[in-house]
Amino acid sequence: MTDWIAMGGYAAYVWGSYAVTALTVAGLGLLAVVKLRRAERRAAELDALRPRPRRAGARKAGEATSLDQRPPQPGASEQGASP
Amino acid sequence: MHRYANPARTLRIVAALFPWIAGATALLFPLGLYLALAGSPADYQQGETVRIMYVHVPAAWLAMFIYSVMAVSSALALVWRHPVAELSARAAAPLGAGFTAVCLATGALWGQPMWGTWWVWDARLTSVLVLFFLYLGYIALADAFDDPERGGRAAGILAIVGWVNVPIVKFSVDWWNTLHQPASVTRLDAPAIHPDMLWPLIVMAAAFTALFTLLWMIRLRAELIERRNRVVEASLAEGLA
Amino acid sequence: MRLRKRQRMAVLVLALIGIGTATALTLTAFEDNLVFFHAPTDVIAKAVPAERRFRLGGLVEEGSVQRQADGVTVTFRVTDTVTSLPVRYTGVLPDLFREGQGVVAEGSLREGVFVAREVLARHDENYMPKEVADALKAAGQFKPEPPALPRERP
Repeated sequence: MTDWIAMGGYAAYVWGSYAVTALTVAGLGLLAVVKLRRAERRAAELDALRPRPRRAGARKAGEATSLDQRPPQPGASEQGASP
Repeated sequence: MHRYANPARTLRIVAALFPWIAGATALLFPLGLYLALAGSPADYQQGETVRIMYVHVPAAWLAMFIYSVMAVSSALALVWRHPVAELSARAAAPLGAGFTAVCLATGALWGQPMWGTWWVWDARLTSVLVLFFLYLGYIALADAFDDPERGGRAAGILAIVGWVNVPIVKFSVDWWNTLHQPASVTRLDAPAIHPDMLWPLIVMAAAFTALFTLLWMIRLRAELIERRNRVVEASLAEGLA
Repeated sequence: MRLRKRQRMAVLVLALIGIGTATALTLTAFEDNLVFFHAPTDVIAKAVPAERRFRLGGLVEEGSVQRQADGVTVTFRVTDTVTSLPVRYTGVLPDLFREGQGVVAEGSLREGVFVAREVLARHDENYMPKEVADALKAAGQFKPEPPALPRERP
């Protein structure tokens, strides 16, 4: 175990590489999720502002707007953070 | 082609694929990390630093692949006015920049102990740095105009023109002598890499690709909603005026 | 509309051909600046003036590495399998520096000896576990794959 962590004397380089990768990937995941959340929140605001639907009964007020004419998928916004 | 041009259809496809890609990412990463960090041998020359290769090489492959995706998307957007294509390029750009940064950083961390330097200006390293700046240029240009359509078009031209750099990155090690070693996996004869090291690399490459696809889908969904929001904002402003 | 689409495609294709050609020409023109190092044969053929700094690359000749009495100076020969040049270097060598492996040294020629200011190791494209390398060596099958190193254009 100690041997494994020592990485034959190259611990700083090997673990450093994996740390840099993990941080970057986590950052990319966070940015993506924040961007999606923000877009969905704005869509909900706009939906509330909008004069009543052109297509009757298409959407209830306050429901997040999405383009796929289906309820927003919770999975699509909640996952995505890196492993 | 225009079957996929419809934003609503794109979102449905993305939503249907999403759980599968998420599942693949969740499976491949633990396996890949295990193989890369513990389940594979040290190299006869590089010792344990060979493990850096398992993140460096997939990041490098993705750096080239994502830029190619952006170039193709931009061509579809410019020539066929494909409505989703431009957004797909936009959604991919920050991910490409991120993976290129990982490639550069891990390369430096390997180069210092093995080569004896963090960085050299050889053809391979320099062309990858150019690739990184192309990503940054694309991101800056895409947001540089008040009208996102104009920004998207300008950035799309950069993506297509800049694509010439991708073969330069790939073949720089063959065309000129460089400090960076030539390709080990993608060469005409058998890979110059032992199967015990090739497998971790393949699994990690698959994991990275799945992760990219996952994040790309999230960003594409966000881009589509944002564009829709702009349309709604414009129509609301018109209604008030 | 159909025609306009075709026009856009034509513009795209022409632009790609144009950019590709321009890039190829530029890269060919600057070939000398794009190579990272020069092989010994090339250095001798071009009769590089003394004191001019450049990078010498090749393989560390087997059996040529000698530590000098001061303990920090090393001499070795860099070969491209055709010709070789003697190198003198004072300083820390990278971990991958080995006989038979690639090396790139930066410095200048002084009286026929390349005095290096910096020595970098070059890795080849071969990856294998130590046990496999040892087994190959034991079986006499080990081909140190003359790392297709000095790829100097004629």
